[in-house]
Amino acid sequence: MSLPTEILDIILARVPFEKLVRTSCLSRAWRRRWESVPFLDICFDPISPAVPDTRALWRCAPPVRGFRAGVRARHFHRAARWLRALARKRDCHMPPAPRDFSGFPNLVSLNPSDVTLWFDGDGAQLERLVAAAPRLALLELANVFTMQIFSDRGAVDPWFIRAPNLRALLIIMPGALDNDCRVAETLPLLEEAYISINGLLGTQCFLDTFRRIATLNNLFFVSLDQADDTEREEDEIDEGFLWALDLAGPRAVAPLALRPCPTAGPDYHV
Amino acid sequence: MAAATDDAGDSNEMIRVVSSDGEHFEMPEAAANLSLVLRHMIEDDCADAAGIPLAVVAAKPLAKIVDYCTKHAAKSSGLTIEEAEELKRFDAEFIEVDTDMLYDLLVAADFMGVEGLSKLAVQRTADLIKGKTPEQNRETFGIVNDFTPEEEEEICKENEWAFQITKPPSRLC
Repeated sequence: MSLPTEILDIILARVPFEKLVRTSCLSRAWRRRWESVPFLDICFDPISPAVPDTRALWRCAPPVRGFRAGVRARHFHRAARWLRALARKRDCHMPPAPRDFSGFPNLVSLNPSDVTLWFDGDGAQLERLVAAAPRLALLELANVFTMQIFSDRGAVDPWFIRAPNLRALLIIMPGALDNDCRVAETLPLLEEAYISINGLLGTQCFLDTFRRIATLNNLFFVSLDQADDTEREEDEIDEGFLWALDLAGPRAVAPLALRPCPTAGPDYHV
Repeated sequence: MAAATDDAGDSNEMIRVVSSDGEHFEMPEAAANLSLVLRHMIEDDCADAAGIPLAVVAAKPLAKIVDYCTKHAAKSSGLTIEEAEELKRFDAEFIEVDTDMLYDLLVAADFMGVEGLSKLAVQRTADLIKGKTPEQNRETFGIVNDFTPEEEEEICKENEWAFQITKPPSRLC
């Protein structure tokens, strides 16, 4: 094509990624042409049988404008590598995985949802990501899995939430399982928390979690019934939002012992 | 050879432009304003009776561009759903051109700064590329396959994942 490079770049950036890579077989001049197209909007389709290998991402030109991927279960391990490759493309707003990543200094909201921390140290990486975001105000950890959940539990490998400016925190541990997430220190500015940590019920960590969020105004505490896995909703307390006091049973002692000083602490009672 | 002026909207002022091969065209000021270059020249009082010379745009693509701008200027604001649909149909028909014209439009729209037309031509070209096999693409865009069969095989292997047959477009993209 005898078009000016800039115009051809704009056109090629609109061709789906695998079709773009396919232009490599057109002719010698085209063999590496796709590697110099900036502002790609890459979309990996889980239905397509074409599963991109990471090398293609390493080779495409920076900056990458967008990246969306529907990852099939059996290819999940590639996703981490994709992110690592994309992290090297300047201007790409993907959470990068490299160990020396210095974090997002302006991040205010982080909500990984249904994420599996697959490799050893992934929890620590998430911990670093949170710690390196001093302005973080909202943290939502909904169904963050660790691999230990799927195997026989070995030693706990905790990762910590350190976020001095956090205003709202949501922790939903998957099922009754412990994903090793811990609140490391008091969160002084916390206003609202939604906590479901059945996996910690009856442990010191359970107590510590509540101690460290003691300054909040609104607490949603949800305990999932392990037998039928449904959410129970019982007493609703004045200040509003303490739900699902499903604390009956032998472990009830632990949360009952929590009842804090009523003046400074959150307005809840059991 | 002037563009249709009957649906030119409110602007009565006609702007004259001259193609690289010396042909004169006229369009309403509102239509000319869709081109960044023409708008700036009008603002700088460069639009006179002799016409604005467009040194790199030949008559054939310029006639198309004048059509495009005239149509879009007439229907630029407060579109009803029917009018928007009609404009879409116009665009779809408008861009059904051969590759030579498509190239000319790409370059001319880029040069003149006609954003809507640039987008339309870019998308059309991208659609052409993605909807074709490599062999068809070579044919459409006049690309000569200068690989040896061995080289071709090697490239397919290098990017094997991309050469697997894909199913129809999915919901995700």
